[in-house]
Amino acid sequence: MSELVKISFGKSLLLAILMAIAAMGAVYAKPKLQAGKEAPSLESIVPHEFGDWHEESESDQQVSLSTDGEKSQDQPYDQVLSRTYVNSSGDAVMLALAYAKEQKQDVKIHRPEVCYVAQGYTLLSKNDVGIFLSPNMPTAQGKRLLTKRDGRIETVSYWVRVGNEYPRGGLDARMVIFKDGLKGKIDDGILVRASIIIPNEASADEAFEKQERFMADLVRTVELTAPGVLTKNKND
Amino acid sequence: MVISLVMRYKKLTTLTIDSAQRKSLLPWVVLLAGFLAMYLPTLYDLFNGVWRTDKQAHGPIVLAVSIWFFYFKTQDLKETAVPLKAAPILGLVVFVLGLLMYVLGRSQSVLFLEVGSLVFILLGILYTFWGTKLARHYWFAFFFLLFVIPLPSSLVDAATQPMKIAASYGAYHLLSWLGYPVTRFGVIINIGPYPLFVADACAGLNSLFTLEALGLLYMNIMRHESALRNALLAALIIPISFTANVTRVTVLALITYHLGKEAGEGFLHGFSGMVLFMTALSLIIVVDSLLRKFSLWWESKKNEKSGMSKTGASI
Repeated sequence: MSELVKISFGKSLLLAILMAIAAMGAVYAKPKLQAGKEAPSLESIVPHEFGDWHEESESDQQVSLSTDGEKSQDQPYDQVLSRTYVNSSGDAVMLALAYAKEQKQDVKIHRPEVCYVAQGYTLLSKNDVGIFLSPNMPTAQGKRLLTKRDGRIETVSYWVRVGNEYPRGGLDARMVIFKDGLKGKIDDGILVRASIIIPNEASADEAFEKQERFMADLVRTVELTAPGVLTKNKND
Repeated sequence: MVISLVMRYKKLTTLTIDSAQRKSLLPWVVLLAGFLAMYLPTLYDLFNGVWRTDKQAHGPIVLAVSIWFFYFKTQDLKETAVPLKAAPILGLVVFVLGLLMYVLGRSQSVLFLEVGSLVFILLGILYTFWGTKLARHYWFAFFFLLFVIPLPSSLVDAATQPMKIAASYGAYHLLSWLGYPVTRFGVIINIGPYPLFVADACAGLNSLFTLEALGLLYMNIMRHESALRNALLAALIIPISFTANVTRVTVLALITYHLGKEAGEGFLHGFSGMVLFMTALSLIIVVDSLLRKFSLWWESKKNEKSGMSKTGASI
């Protein structure tokens, strides 16, 4: 027993110094929130009218952005916006935005494939898509979902921007957050989602293209006043 | 009275002045100071962060049990002779690995790495001063410590959703079998006029891990004779925890239906965890005693057989 209690002072001093260095190193390496970078107000940067589109009062109930009914601290977003727009030919597109100013490993944006399934929708298909925005902007890397619940069929196109990347999965997003964190940067993040309710699966392709053109129109307008909120910055 | 006080004081001072004792204590104090510099902030963050959420609320209990188990194994040392042979090089390697995990994990808020480093740091210290044999004495304590590590959030996210849907599916079928007016959309159960959201906490990931950890601890302390029985019980904890969760969701739905939304919410915050653990505990006890009966029966049958073949050989 006494052998257990008597330990060498030199060794314990060495280990203690190493532990103190690690404790300080962790504090030093922690990324800091960029000062002066104000979070944009989604309500004010997203116009009620642009191009051929104008906002209409929400008639169809949109699929909620969270995975459950909890209005708890778990809610990872700082701002959400959900609107329905129509154009001159009567097409209606639902838009949902969710913005988080600080993306950390344990709080991140919920992906629509999770939200829709949680609310009883079946995923009929899920494909990667590159959404063309404008000739001088990088293509947004997103996804197309075809979802169904009872008689309601909905096409969903979305992308998630984290920092200056379009991660396609939760793990990708965490890698972006981790890499930027090592550079001392805390990422912001946004989910941009557009969807259309369609009568049957045959009209899905048309609806996907329609809602993605809508997203491109929206981005080109928002880019004039608030660049780099919905999308990646050009210079990267 | 005064004399006894003076005597006690003298005793105290002689205790503190004992220079040999102080000498052997000093390295411990230094080591502890370094350790606390690392893990006090971590502990503070855990108590104010994930351990307050429903999903990982089992953390403090498992940590307390884990500390107790280290103490238990240390008491155990008095009776068992463990050869001590310091392994400073191996120790330092493991220790430095732990430090790297800690710095990366803590600075980038990856809790999995930050808390996981604790295992490496403790193991490194053990190796450095006392060697591998002593570390082996503590193996189960280290294994148990793994349950303290918050699960990586990507894993929690991936596992939570299907478990939630499964729990609501089970509760829905049970309720409709009982003749209640229920419908289900994903994780939303509508019972009568009330929609109920099956929350992340009801996925039961945390209760599963707590039960698994405590079950393993129970088996380790009890030193069950049969390895098969231990393995079976460990595996059966998974369906048991699922059953307990379905019970919880069903009871919640029934209370809401019969006594109203407020009663349901009161139950949710006060009592539902209790129902979960009572159900799980009784199921574990029942399953364990069934397993014991089964293994006794199995053993006797095996003995019979071997006895018969022996007699057969002698003939």
